[in-house]
Amino acid sequence: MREPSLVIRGLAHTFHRGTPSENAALVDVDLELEPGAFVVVLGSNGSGKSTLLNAIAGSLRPEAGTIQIDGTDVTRWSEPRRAQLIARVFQDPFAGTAGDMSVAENLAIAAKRGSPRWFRRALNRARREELFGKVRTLGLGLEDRLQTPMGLLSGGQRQALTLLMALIVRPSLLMLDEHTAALDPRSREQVLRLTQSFVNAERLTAIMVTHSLPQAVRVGDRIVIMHRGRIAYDLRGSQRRRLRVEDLLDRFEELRRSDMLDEDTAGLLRRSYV
Amino acid sequence: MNLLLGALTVGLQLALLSLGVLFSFRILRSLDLTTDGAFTTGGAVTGALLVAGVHPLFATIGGGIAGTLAGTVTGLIHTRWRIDVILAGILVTTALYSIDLWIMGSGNLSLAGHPTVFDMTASLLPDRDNMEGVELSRDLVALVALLVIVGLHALSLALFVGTDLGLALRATGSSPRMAKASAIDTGLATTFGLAIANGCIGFSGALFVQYQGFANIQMGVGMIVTGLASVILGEALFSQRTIRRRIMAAIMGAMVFRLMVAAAVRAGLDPNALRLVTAAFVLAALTVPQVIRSLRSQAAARVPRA
Repeated sequence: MREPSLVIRGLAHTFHRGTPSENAALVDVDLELEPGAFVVVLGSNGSGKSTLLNAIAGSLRPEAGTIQIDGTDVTRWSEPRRAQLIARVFQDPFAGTAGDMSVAENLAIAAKRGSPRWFRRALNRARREELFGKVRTLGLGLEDRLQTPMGLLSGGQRQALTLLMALIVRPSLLMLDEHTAALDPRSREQVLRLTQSFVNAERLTAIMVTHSLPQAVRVGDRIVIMHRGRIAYDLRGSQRRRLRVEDLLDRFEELRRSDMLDEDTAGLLRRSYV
Repeated sequence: MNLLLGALTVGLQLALLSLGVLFSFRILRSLDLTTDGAFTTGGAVTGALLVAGVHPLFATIGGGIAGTLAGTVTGLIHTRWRIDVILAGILVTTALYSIDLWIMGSGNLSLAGHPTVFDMTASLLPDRDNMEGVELSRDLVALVALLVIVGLHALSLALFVGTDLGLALRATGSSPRMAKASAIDTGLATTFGLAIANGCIGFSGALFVQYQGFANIQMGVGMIVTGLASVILGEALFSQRTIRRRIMAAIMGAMVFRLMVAAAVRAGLDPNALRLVTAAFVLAALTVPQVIRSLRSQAAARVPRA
């Protein structure tokens, strides 16, 4: 069997420990992603899915647990160092690109992800032509606007380019953090379709966080539902293939009902039944 | 004529300061107060080297290196220990005051009798009998020499901002999240950028002391505001479409600023009021667009109700 792309063991993190607002965002999370897996992470606000993504990306250092990417332990790596392996698309379409730099310059930066950056001219004719071809694959007509400052483009256009930037150097892991949530319906559809076609064509290992259940059912081959810092459901294989939006709603209803039992009862039930 | 020539000459010296502030304030988006210290230290080091008999070219480069080091220290304090960049700049500038006094030996260092880069360029002139003409052509040659120096400096900066490393620095200022996600070590990039910015500023101080003939411990005070005024003036008057034009605009801004200062003093403005007027100008330039925007949005909000 092939080595998993991502292995997470015992990941735990608590915000504001020892204060009244103490919040266990991650509680002993284990997760393994096979190469080429496309996992959708669902969960209500505060379920820990953002914390999980930040811990994987390295923008948050978890209190406990280890993270391996392609067999390398990256737990102690800084965020920029991990970015050599991980590509990210953020929810905020303006975060993933530099607004006062041109489209071509943004792409040139992404093309150097993981390579040393020195005094070589970033954009020459050959480079521009290569970028022209890559941007054309988006099918948005942006290849004619390589000199345009990124700040003049719409959120949807910027997010599509961010996606292209994430994939211009093949990442070991692609992380999509609600990357369509801030877009208008048409751009959302566009970016989602691009995401699907890129991930499928390149057989990328990907994690996508979303709030949209129809989206979750439509893309990916595995669904993880987080709840109170734990992985409550991990739906894969035939279970995942049969899944409909209504089934997901049922799962969330179950989680909501279990929340209504108070902590003591929940503990009692866990002790006697688990 | 002489007034115009003098204003342009000083303007070109301060164009390097303006480029430094463009780099730190606009490109890296850090208000770097090391500026005041780096300007003085650049001048002090160059002055001390000249007095020690070092060749003017190397003395000038020494001033630039001193500024680079000052910027590096600020960058390291800011990025390694997560001290706010403004405080880091204040700390370095404060510390540099003592260091400058050690370098210069006192608060004032005269360069009289020590050849400067401007004497070097003047010596290229053939001897003339007419003393007044010589004075004028001396200034003209200084101006030409500065044009060449500033031109080369601007050209190397313009090339640098188009390199892989230059793009990384600009991304760090423009979108730190994107930079980190592109595997750019933003701490290192910021430090490097502050080093470059203060290198320009130290270089500016190095030329300034040679032109005025002495170094003074107070000469850097308020230079950040002068630099900001130059950059903002350049932005208001010249195209900002590409990074290369922004570099050009910052240089032109410094020249226009000096011309305006010369004209204002000539028109009877009390020279003591210069700093007050400059500060007021920068304040207005930074706040007026905001006020206009909020007035506009208020006006827009009123429309639907009508």
